[in-house]
Amino acid sequence: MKNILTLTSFTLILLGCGGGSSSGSNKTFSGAIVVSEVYTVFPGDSIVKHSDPAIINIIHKEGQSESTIELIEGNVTILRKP
Amino acid sequence: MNIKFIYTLLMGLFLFHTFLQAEIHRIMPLGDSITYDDLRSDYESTPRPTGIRKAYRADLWYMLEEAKISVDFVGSQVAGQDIVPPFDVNNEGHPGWTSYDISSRVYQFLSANPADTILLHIGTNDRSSSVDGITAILDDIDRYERDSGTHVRVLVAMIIGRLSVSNVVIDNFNANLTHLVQQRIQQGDMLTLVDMYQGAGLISDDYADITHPNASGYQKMATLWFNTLIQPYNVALHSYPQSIVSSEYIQSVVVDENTKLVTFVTKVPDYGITF
Repeated sequence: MKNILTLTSFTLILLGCGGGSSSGSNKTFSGAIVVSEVYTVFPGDSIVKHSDPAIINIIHKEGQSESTIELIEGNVTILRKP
Repeated sequence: MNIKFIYTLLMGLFLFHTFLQAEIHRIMPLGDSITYDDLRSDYESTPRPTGIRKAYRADLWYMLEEAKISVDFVGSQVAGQDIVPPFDVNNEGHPGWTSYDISSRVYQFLSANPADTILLHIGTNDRSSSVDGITAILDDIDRYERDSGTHVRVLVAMIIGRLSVSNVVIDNFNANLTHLVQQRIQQGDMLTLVDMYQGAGLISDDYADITHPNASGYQKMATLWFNTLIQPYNVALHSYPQSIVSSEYIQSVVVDENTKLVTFVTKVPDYGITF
């Protein structure tokens, strides 16, 4: 029983510490993005560049708070405030 | 109880509708004598009273009024107050001014009389094919937008030709202007090019002198301004790119009025982009 509880707690901790996934349009993503993948960004999110140049494509629809971005060239990170 | 509720609801809807109808669009007619209404004869003999100077402004006002579009013409100049039926006579038409003269004052004009839309017809007095003065005007309008936190749409007119003289300079000016406006639209500027040069359809009979239209010429100009103004233009979409990144970083912008989508490619500035 103790082992089961320990294993469950460990699993939960691992899940809680989980970083962003690299899958496109993942609403919880926060981290470096890769070329040609589409990511969703929300109000308050920031794009930080790590190369020069860093070029992105942004698509925004009127009335929606979120936008989608796609990295065209360079290296950037999405920063999401908790 | 139910009747009272329905009455209140209907009154609320009526007031809301009235509020929407009452939204007034501020338009600044900006330019030289072709905006103010000056003729060569006004300098050769007794000038006509300012109260009868209307240029394209009166006809445009009547067209907007007939279309039930509420507008407020804004500007420090007053000309046309004796015209019947009356129209809004405020404008920023400055006879004899070049684009460089306008560029040195446009920030002040907008600060004194904020506008949602500018109708810009300037360059005739430049006598040059350079559009550096127009660039300076648009730069200062951008500066005003940043400082005031507002968005101003500019309808930039290719200037009308002159009679009995070579129009090579105006040809080149309008070509350079077209290139400039298209380039700035790509960078997210809220500009619309208006082909007043060929598109308005002015012919020799539409001129009062070699430079200035007569009543029929001004009516043609008013019609083109009107037809451009009533085209769908989604300010929220067009202004979105520059609301999150400065125009100098933007490489291309495409706005789809139907799907309400704006797509743009931009360099990421050193300070990043915050949504």
